[in-house]
Amino acid sequence: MWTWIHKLGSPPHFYRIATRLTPWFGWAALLLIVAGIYGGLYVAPTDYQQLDGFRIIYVHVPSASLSLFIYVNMALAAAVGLVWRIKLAHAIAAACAPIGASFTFLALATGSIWAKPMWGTWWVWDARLTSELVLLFLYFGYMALRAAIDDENRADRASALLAIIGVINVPIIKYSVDWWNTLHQPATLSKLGKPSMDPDMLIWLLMMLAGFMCFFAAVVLTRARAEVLLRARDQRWVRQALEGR
Amino acid sequence: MKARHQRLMAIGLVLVGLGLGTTFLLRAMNENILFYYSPSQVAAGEPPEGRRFRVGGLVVNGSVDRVPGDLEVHFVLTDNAKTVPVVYSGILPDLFREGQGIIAHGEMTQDGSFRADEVLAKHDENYMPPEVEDSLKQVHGGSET
Amino acid sequence: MPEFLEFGKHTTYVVSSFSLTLVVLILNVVSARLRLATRIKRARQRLALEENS
Repeated sequence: MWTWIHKLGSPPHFYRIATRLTPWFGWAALLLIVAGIYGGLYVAPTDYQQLDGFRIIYVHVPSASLSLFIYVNMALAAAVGLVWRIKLAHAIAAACAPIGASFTFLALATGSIWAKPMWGTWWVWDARLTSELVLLFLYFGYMALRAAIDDENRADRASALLAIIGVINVPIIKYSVDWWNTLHQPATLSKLGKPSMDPDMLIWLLMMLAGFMCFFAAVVLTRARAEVLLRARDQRWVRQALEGR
Repeated sequence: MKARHQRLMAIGLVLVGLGLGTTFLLRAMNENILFYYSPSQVAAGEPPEGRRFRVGGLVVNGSVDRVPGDLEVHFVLTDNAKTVPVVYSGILPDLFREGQGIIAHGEMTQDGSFRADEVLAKHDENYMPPEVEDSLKQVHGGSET
Repeated sequence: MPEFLEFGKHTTYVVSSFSLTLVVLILNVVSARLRLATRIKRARQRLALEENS
């Protein structure tokens, strides 16, 4: 077990495994997302209240879930890097940030597009929308901090601290709709209990969620490889990895 | 080994401290994070006087009255305890209908009605096709009679 | 608007949110691959320099 973790923690091993896994995740993501979009747009029945407008859920909810999931991943990787001084963990955290920021932006933008016809406004300052916007700024802050510090090790440590502190925002976003009167409705999907959605609609949403997860895996592995190459001090394995193919 | 444990401890302490701090801060701020007041709270005089605020409630069935040839709409909001009459002129959101949850932004007028300049629809987390909704209604109606 | 992109009165909202999603997904793939390609190129240059010296 420990040797396995140690092996995975070594950049050459990670690079090799990431290279091998990326296409699998990539193709799975493509299949799931194409099927999910098709099903969500054309197979799922219309909603009794929102008619076809509800179909925005198929891009909004997966983006929003991913924005939180990626942040937790980033903070975990940063914490591992900080505690055990593993450079690879910092590389993974750094790879997460831009992807997470893009999905947070997507969640906000599609939510806004959805809110205009349904709620009657593009934006309100309720607890859910405000805390999700704070998440976007956390990602931006993390990336800005990394870019501002030249020394690799110091940038890793400072940004890791920011990522860990920002984790507090995650439960606030998740439970904001239960804790306060918000305009945003409570969660349709929750771990416990039956989802408040018809099974014919739900299946495509779950497919999109799985597709987005695979998509994140493929992109983060690619970005992490780039980060690992940037940090490679021992040139021998790089030569092997690049010319062995 | 020891240094690593110290770092773990430090991170843990920072997290616990920040968590506690935020919890207390949010509890204190709770009143202000409320996005809207209910008709009962309005009746009890809770919203600040002379200031704009939001009222949230359900549109009472049969209360919607549109002025012909004009955008002006009158309707009544309820929380099943108290009611607030609302006057609004403007475009209503798609989800506006009788029985729907609505949040109106504006101020109270002299005659005790609420003059809104923004009406937002709040919807719930349930999604289903129209047929399912119909059958649900039938089951519901059957059990009530 | 072609018929398969008609979604009742919400056409604009549905189509714009799905297109925006596709754009963001594609940008993610392109930027990640570009970044990796650049890093590989730099690493190769560094290796070549070492060989020459």
